[in-house]
Amino acid sequence: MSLRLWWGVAWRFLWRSRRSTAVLAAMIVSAVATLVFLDALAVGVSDAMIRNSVSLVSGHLSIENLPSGLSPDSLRPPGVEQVLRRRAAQVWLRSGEKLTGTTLWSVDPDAERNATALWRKTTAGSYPEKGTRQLFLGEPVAAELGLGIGDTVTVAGDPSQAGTEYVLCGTFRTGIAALDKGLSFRPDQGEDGDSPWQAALFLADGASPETVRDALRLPQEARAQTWAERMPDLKQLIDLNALCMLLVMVLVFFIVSLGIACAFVIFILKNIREHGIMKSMGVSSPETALLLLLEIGGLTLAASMLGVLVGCGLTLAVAGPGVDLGAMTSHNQYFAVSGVIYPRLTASGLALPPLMALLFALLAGIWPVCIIARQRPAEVLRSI
Amino acid sequence: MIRVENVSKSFTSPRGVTPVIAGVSFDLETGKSLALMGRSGSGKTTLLYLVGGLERPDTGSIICLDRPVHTLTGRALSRFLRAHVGFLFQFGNLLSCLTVAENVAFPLRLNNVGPAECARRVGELLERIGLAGAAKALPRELSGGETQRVAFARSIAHRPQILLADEPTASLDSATARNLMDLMFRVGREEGRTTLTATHDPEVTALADRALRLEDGRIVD
Repeated sequence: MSLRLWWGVAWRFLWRSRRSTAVLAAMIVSAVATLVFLDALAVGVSDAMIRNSVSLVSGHLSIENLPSGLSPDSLRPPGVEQVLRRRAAQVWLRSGEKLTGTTLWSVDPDAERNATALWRKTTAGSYPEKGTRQLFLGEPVAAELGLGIGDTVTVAGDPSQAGTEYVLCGTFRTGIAALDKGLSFRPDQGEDGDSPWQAALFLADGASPETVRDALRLPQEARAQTWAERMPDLKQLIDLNALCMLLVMVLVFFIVSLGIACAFVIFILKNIREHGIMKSMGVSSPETALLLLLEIGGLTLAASMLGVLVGCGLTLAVAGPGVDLGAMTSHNQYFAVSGVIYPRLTASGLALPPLMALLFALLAGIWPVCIIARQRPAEVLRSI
Repeated sequence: MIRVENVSKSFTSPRGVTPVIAGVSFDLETGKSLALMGRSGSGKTTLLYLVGGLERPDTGSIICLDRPVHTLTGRALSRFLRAHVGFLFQFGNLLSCLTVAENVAFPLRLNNVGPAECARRVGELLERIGLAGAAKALPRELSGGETQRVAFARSIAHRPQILLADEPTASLDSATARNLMDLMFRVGREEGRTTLTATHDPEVTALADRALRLEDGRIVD
């Protein structure tokens, strides 16, 4: 059985039945292009949720309990763009008679402003300046203490201690209760001495937190957590997103394959005369099946490639400006910083739709192939 | 040699069982031609299909080139047809998606003839039927006579030992029909081909070595 012969015949059948071929191809191109774009959009949504979540404060990888002598520069394997050094302390905030506990982070304000987005969530006042005794509190904490911008607040390790006075320079609100009520910030001026510090690592696009963690040579007492380990709910949401996308692909191609099957039955029945003639010339049923599968496969493959190109074009056109879904995400904690989605193409997003198209088209071809392979040439020739 | 012995064939439809061929027997020696005559519905086409293995008889046997055609199925039948048999149909039945040259080359390609030999043989045949200039034309661009000449070229391209022609001149004017039949019988004799032709046309019958008349599925003359 010469594949070259049958491929040549299949190509001529497709090329010289241009209208039917164009209709079938249009169906596949549109399905594949849509799915490539939808997948890129789903990836963009996941990216946005991760970006929003990690860029607020925590970074892609957070490492706790680092010895004070360790330099942040030692935490820069390939893929790491920024390392933020922070020291955390459990403290009491006192204003007059009012008292509340918080986790106070001593940070480098300039570096934080460069790498994180928390300062953009400022609701009053401003982010602390380097070298000052200023505090940046969550709005609910400031309200609980009855503080306004410029008021003095005392920070103490123990409620019974006198503590140190700070000025409230700004308040923030992220919509995430754990942050708004649990975290406070001050410029790092060495108040915490030689206490261990924690690092927030911000990675380049596409860098894997797990790979970066494996590349780090951390002291034994240090503990590194990826964003996925720190926020399993977000990880599950993203996995759910990917699963939904896969289901959409399967469903779309199941429906499209019914259309393809019907279209191919019409296409093949239109050519039934030709198949009857070929059988009378000695073409066997397996060769007929091969010819039909080459027609279906060839058409689907070519149309899928075109669909991928169209999908890429559509994605790239939208990816530049992004899709602003702010109106739909403003109350969602995973979009605390920005609701703009930037669709992103991935290898799986480019490979799966054409593979699905090919798989479903070949499955769809089984029916017409069976019809034609079982047809006896004498019956066909008599009907001509 | 074609040997048809006591062959019967009937078709079943909602209206009942219709006998089409009833106890037909004849021999046709290698290289000879036989015209099957008879009215429409007399069973000529069915008999051709039975000899070519496209139909299986209900009873009897058909031996072509020492092969029991009545038992051949699947790959064995395909191999027999592509190597030894050429069909020439009433309306040409060219493959509409292939050009004239591709149609003529098709049986050669099926028999794994190489591209150079294929091109040589196609060129020779198209020259012989006077259509060398139409090699790249599609069947829809041909007249009825041209279509039938291309169909003839295709049916003998692979030099089959048996040619089965089903009313090959029925759709042609008399002059074109005469030319085609002259060519078919002349080339058949030159190449030692056994030719079985179903026809209404007495002129075609006159060109054949022998003739048989079928009536209601039986040989009457």
